[in-house]
Amino acid sequence: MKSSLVGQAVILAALALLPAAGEAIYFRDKISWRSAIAPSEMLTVEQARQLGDTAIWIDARPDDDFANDHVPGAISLNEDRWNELLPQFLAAWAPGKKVVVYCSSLSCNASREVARRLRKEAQLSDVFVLEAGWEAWLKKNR
Amino acid sequence: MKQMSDVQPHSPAATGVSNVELSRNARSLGFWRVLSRILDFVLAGIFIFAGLTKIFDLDRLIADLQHFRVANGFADLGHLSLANPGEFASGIDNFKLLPWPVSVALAFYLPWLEIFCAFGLVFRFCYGGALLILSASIVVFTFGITAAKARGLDITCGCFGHASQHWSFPSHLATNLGILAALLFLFFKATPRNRP
Amino acid sequence: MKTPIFAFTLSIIMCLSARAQLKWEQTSVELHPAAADKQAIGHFKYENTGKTPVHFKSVHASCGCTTAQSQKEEVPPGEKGEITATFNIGDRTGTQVKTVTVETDEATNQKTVLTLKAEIPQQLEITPNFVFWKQGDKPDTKTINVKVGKDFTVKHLKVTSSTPDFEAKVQEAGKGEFKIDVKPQDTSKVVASMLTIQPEDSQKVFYATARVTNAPQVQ
Repeated sequence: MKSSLVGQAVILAALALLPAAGEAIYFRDKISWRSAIAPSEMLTVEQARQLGDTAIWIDARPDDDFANDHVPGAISLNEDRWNELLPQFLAAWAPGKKVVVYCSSLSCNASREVARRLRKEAQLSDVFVLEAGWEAWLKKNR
Repeated sequence: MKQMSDVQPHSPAATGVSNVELSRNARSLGFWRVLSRILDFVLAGIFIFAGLTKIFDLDRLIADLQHFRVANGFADLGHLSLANPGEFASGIDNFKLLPWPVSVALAFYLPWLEIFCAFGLVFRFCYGGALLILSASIVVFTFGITAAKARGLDITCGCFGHASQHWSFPSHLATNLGILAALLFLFFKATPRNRP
Repeated sequence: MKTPIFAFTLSIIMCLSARAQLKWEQTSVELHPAAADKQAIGHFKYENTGKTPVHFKSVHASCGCTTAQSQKEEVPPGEKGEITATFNIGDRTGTQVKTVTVETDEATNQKTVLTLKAEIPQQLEITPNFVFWKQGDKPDTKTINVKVGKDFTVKHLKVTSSTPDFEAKVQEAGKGEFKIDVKPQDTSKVVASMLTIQPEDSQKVFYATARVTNAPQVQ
C-alpha cells in the first residue's frame, strides 16, 4: 500500500516537472539562478570591462566609501544625495552608453535601488548592476 | 417451508441487523462519499487557485471579481500574462531556510505540482499520491511560516500569491490547518475505498 | 493513522519550543515620516523572559543608511530594553524596507531580524525626470508627467528652465496630474538645462533635466 502511494506521488511529481521545466526555460533570461537580479540586468566584472569606453560606472555607496576608493572614472550617485548627484551623472551620460552600477558586495542592495531608479525615473535603458560589486572589482584588480 | 439453507449468511435474519439499520448504514456511507467528493472539489479548487496565482498575474482579475465586475473579469481572462516567478522565489527566499537556487527551482515547480495534485483529486488519478503530496506540502508550509514567526521574521507566506500577501500569520496558520484537516480526513476516510 | 498525526504535532511543538528567550514586543515597525523629516526612527523593545542573561553579540543594519544601537550589551533575566534603529532618509522615496540583524548568545534563536518599513511621502512623482534630444534631431516637444502624491493637494505647478535654450509649459491633466511639455530652441549644439518644478504654496522644489546630447559614436 505504501509503495503504491509513493508510486502515485512519484508519477504526479514527474508530470509536474514537465511544465515547470518549460516555464524555467521560458524565463531563463528574466530570472537569475545565482542571485535575485535578472541576468539581463547584471554583469560580471569581466563583462563590464569588455564594454570599454561605452560604460559609465556608477558608485552607489555612501560618500565616505567613494572618497576612500572607487573604480577609476566612476561617478558617485547614491540615494543619500540623489537630487544633488543626479545632474552630474546625466551630464556624463549620452545615448549608447551602458551604465554599470555597483555597491559594496553581493548582499548590498544600494546598486539595485539606484539602477531601478535610473530605469524608472530617468527612463534609461542599458542600466546594469555589477555582480558582487566593489568586492568583485577588487578581486579582479589586485 | 423455508429451508434454513436458503437463508443467506448476511441476511438480516442471520446477522440480526434490521432493514432499518442497513438502510441507515447505506445512507451514512452515501453521506461520507458525497462529503468526500465535495471536499475533493473544494480542495482541488483551492490548490488550483493557489497554483494559478503563482503562474499568472491574476491581480486585476481578482480585484474585478471581488468587486463583482464580472464583464471586466472575462475581459481580463483574455489578457492574462504570466507572473514573474522571481516574486514567488523571493517569497520563498524570505523564509531564509533555503539557498536562492532552490527557491527559484521551487518557484517554478511548486505551482504545477499543486495543480497536478488538484486534478488528481478531481479525477481520482493517483489519488492517494495526490493527497500525500498536498498534505506534506501543507505541513512544510505551516512549519515554514511558524519557524519564520518564531525567528522574528516578518514575512508574507505567498501561499496564494498576491491574493494572500496581506494575510496575517494567524490567518495563514488557520487556513493551512483547516486544509490539512480536510486532506487528512480524505486520506484516512476516503482512500481505503478508492485506492486502485 | 497515529504516526502522521504524531509527526505533525511534534513539528508544531518543535517550532513553538524554538521560541526565543528574548521576547520582542514587535519585530516589524512601520513608520510614516513627514515629507520634511530627515530621519525615521524605530524602537524595538524586548524583554529577557529566560532565567539566564542574554548578551548581544552584534547588531548590524542592512545598509549604511541605517544605524542601530542597543541600550545595553547584557540583558539580565526579567530586564527590558530596546534597540533603536535610525534610518537616514536622504533623497529616498516610496516604500523603504531596512533590516537590522541582532545576534545574541541564546541557546536557540540566536539571530533575529528586525524590520523597519518606512513609507516616505512623495509630494510629486516626476516621470521621466530626464528628457534629451540627440544633436541634430528635430526639436520635438517631449512630455514630463507629474503625479501628485495621494496625501497631497497641488493645484498649480510652476516650472522654470535654468537656461533659455529650453521652453517648458505646464498643463493640468486633472485628477492630481500635470504634464510639462519641454522643447529645445534648437538641437544643433550640446546644451543642458535644469528644470525647477515647484508646487504652488510649497517651499519644496523638484528637478528634472533637459539636454541636447552628443550624437552616439558609431562603433
